[in-house]
Amino acid sequence: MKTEILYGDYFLFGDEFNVKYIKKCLPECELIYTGIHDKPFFADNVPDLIYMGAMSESNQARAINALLPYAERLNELTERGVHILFTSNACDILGKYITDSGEKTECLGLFDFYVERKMLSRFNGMTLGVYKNMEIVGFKSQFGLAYPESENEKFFDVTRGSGLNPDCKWEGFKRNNLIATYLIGPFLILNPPFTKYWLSEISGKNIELPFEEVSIQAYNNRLAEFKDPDRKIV
Amino acid sequence: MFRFIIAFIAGKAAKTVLRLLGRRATHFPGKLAVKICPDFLKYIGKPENIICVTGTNGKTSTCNMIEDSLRQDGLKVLDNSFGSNTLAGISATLTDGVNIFNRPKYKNLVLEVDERSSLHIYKYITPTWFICTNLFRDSVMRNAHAEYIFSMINDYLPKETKLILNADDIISSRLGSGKNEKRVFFGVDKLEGEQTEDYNIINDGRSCPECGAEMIFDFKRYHHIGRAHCSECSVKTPEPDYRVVRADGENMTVVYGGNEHTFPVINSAIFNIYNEAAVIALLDQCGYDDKKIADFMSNIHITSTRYNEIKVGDTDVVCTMLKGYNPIACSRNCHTAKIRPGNKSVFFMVDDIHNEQDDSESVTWHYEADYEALCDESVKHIYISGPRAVDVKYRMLLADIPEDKITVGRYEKDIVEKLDFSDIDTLMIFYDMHRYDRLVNEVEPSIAAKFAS
Repeated sequence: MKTEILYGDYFLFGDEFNVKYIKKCLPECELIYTGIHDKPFFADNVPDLIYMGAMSESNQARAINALLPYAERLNELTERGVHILFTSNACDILGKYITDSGEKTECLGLFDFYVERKMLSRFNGMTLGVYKNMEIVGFKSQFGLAYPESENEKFFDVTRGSGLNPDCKWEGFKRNNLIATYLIGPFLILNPPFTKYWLSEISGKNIELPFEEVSIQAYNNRLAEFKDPDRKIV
Repeated sequence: MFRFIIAFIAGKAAKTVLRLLGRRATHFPGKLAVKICPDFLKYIGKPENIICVTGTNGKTSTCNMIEDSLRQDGLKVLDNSFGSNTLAGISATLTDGVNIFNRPKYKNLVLEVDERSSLHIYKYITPTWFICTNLFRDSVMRNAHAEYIFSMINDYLPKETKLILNADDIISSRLGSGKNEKRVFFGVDKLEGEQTEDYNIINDGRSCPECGAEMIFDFKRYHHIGRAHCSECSVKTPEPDYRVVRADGENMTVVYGGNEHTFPVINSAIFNIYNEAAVIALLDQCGYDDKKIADFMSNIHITSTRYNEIKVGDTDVVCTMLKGYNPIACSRNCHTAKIRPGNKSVFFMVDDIHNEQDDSESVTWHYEADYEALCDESVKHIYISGPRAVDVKYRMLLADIPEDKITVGRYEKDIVEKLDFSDIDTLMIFYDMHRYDRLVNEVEPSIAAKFAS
């Protein structure tokens, strides 16, 4: 199994651990790191999984420039059902554009949404939702908020906390096997039921998570906290 | 101006009332004043010499050293060491520093400034000297990332200010570049016997801040601290004007002005060597000779709220404050634990108690901290307390730390009961600032009582 990591040197907010976790769960998985000056592996090959995580705004701009020539190829791989996971502000790149202080940055345009970024207004929140009967939890910490044009390609419904923006009751985007979510945590580590299901689907075998019992215990603690009505969940 | 007068009177009155009630009044009076007059700092009287210290780690220790030095010289110094380092705290400090006619009572001001508050502070305060100890990732929620904080400071730093910067930090050493005329750099050479770190999860210097290409480290101490140059463009770390060339537990040798100068070491942890080097650079720039500076340093001690060592039986108990949500502080302390001679156990009490009450603390920062350093034969046991204990345990397991070495408990007292001193020379306790009261009132006495019995 080949997993392409796009611009791993740039990752922030613990997102590097999403990659490490995939490797821990699937030791035979070959990680292919693509740097900002490299031609993406997916340009001429079909990886089993493509992953991209959080990054600073200047590095995000570099990533957009690097990926724009491959937008159509990424779309093609999405249609072919390649598994793709973008977390945190890597999601921004998949939308139509980002606005920031009157400036507009064109993005890959795979999904119908735009991002409004305010560098002096950081949005922090928590999210609880349900995807295929699995409860999903995670944290949000971002300068940009996504505004979708339709609900057709949502990842999951939010039951408590924040969706794509404070007025949106759903989180992330999904088309075929491409999933984009603003959740950090790291997302895969915080959601053992989802990760187990998702990695089993990708690898075609039943995945045992490392120290699964402890991971489920931490997950259950968090679920209880996120559901506690006395706690502030933005 | 009318708003300022009202704010000034309200701030002064609030201070008087709070002090009569036995409070320190280091935050609220400033908060009130700024609420009434948002540009309160513009009008409040300011001392003549202003030294501002910022940075992700080390700003409090650095400020304390500067204040202690100046006071040893007989100077009257206003500071915010008991207050907050944000707009409200600084406004409260300055309110305290003027008489009822808004005339400064002090000639010297030493301010610790929260990096994130730069835009509110430097708009109205022009520091004479500005020290940045370093810039790293800090709280994901507040500070986002180092590049953001760099811009936040750089965009608002007055161009007249003289800067003292860490030459070994490819991020903060670029502050004021092309803008501030006077920039002085301190750095620490690779020291004899120093163990550098092959791998840190966080390295914000991997890519060039100008062109995004790979940075080549000629020497990497930890994270992005070291000497580096860009593989593609001309960006590189600057040459230090104050270069620490030797340091041991007793003394450090700093080369500047073409000569070697020796100073007592206040604390031999490398991050404290950096802090001390920054203070030496400042004092030299302010005209103090090396003998005077050495005298100052010999009389300075790190405050016990941040670092304390006690002996319990034959075991050293080392208590170090570790700012929660700050993966660098956590990483530094994990590496310090690893290299400490002898066998040791580590006790983490780092959860943010306020989050425990209100919401659910983000655990993201634990995945940027180098817990892998604790996967070492000399680390015999790891104890974790707090509501996030299971999360931290899971993080430790993913760092390949054997499960039988890890003990978790929601409350500190649960942990103290389980502490095993039989096979260790040192117990290292890492605590968040919000846990300090619990450390001194509950944990330390319980450990002593356990041994006494």
